[in-house]
Amino acid sequence: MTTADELAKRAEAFRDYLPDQSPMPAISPEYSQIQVPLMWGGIWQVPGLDLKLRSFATISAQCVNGWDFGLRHQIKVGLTMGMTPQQIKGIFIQLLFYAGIPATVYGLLQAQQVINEREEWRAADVSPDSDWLDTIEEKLQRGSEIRRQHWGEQANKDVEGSLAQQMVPEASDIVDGYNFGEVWARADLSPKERMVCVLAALMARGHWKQLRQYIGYALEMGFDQREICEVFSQSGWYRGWPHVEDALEQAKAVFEEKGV
Amino acid sequence: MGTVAELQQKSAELRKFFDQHLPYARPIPVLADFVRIQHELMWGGVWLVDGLDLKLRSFATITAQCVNGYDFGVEHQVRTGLTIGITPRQIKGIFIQLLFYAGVPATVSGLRIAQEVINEREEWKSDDVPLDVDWLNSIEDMLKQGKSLRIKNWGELADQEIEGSLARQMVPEAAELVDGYHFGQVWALADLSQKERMVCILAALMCRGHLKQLKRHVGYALEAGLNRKEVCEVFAQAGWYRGWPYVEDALEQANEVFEERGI
Repeated sequence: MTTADELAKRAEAFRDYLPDQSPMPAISPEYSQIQVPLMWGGIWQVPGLDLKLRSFATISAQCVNGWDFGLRHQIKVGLTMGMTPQQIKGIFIQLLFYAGIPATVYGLLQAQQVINEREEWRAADVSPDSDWLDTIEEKLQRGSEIRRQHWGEQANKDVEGSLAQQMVPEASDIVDGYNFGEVWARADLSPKERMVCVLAALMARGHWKQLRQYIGYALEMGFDQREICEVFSQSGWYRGWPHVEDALEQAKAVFEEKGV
Repeated sequence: MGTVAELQQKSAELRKFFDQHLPYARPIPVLADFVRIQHELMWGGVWLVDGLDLKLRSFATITAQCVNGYDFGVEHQVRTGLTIGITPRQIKGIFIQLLFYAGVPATVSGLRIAQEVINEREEWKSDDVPLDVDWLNSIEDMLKQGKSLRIKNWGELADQEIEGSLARQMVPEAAELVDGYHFGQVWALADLSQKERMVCILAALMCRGHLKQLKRHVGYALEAGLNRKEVCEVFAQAGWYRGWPYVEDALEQANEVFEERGI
């Protein structure tokens, strides 16, 4: 079985991603003694989910948490790993629907600060060409096609039959039109990357019923069981481990229903 | 039933204590009506209810503030805790304990704020010495130490429940690391007593709304030696700092456990 020394050595691989001077060892040596091997030498390197997708999950959890330095730190880690500035911003735009405007605005403000720190990041910070649709009807139409294509007919029906669609239909048309018809259609992130952000955000906010639905959609899109579980353990360490247990309960129920 | 005058009186006495020990902790310059409600209800009321001592109330409150994440509130309650007599190492111990229950960012934020407050006073700073820790080198040893601590504090059933967790089944590599470090190292740190750790856990699970896990932990708390009243008072104390509806949800779980156990 693994030793703490081996974990610490593996954490060395992350040296480039980490800030030069962390105040944490001076504030709490115990914290550093635990966090460095456990997280950077351990969880980040468990097989089943690649580093970039782990970074998407972590930034999403940090976005829901809302602490500025944690968010900036993870944005820097993501950029250092090779995410583009537009992908980083894409995460926060994706979370508009799932975590709300203030979380998105706050995340984008932190992201911009970090991007401005390096010339190469600033230079790469160019908005993608987006094909903006003119009417809500067209947006709803495109959103419905995207859902059907990635998640299947049943998911599309679930979303179209949501309580929001029934009980606050005006708002819901606009929200669904923009979220599924514009945000999900953007070129900055792949549908798989978007789904990682959504799973992490729904878990971090504790929307268990909706999380369960999205676990089903993730399977439809081609995620395997292992990837879904790893998204939860990765973002869970950044939100509180009891969230992992609650999320896995939903995942297990879906896996059993689908016989996977 | 207490009168408002009594609450004001008790609040004023507690204020006197804080004024004496904490001369720079001036009331927040906001709406006077807010201050009046808060002082009477909280400092003259909830904090002084029998059944849970001031220090344990402070542990519960700092935990709720840590989950909330408002810097100002964490800072204020860390200062209050230090003034009540919690040591700087214990304050830091709370945030380390919450690494598992509230996540890394909550812990980092709490520790950074705690350090700023500790640096405000020479006596706190000089008390802030690192712990002697017996760090284990293999995850296996950590898991073993964690298991024996769980059995000792919470009993066999709790140990079986934790070892049978979905995390152990579905994300086994991560779960072994987390359980090893958490139960085998964090729990073994000498800064907090098992009872103090339990207060933090109950408050954190309530504040994040993990009601099923909270229910199990109410059982563990009883095994660890907390009594019924103490468990309920932890919820009332932390709940005022997180939102009172959390108290109702938590007590629903507690009530079920008490009934099942016939206490």
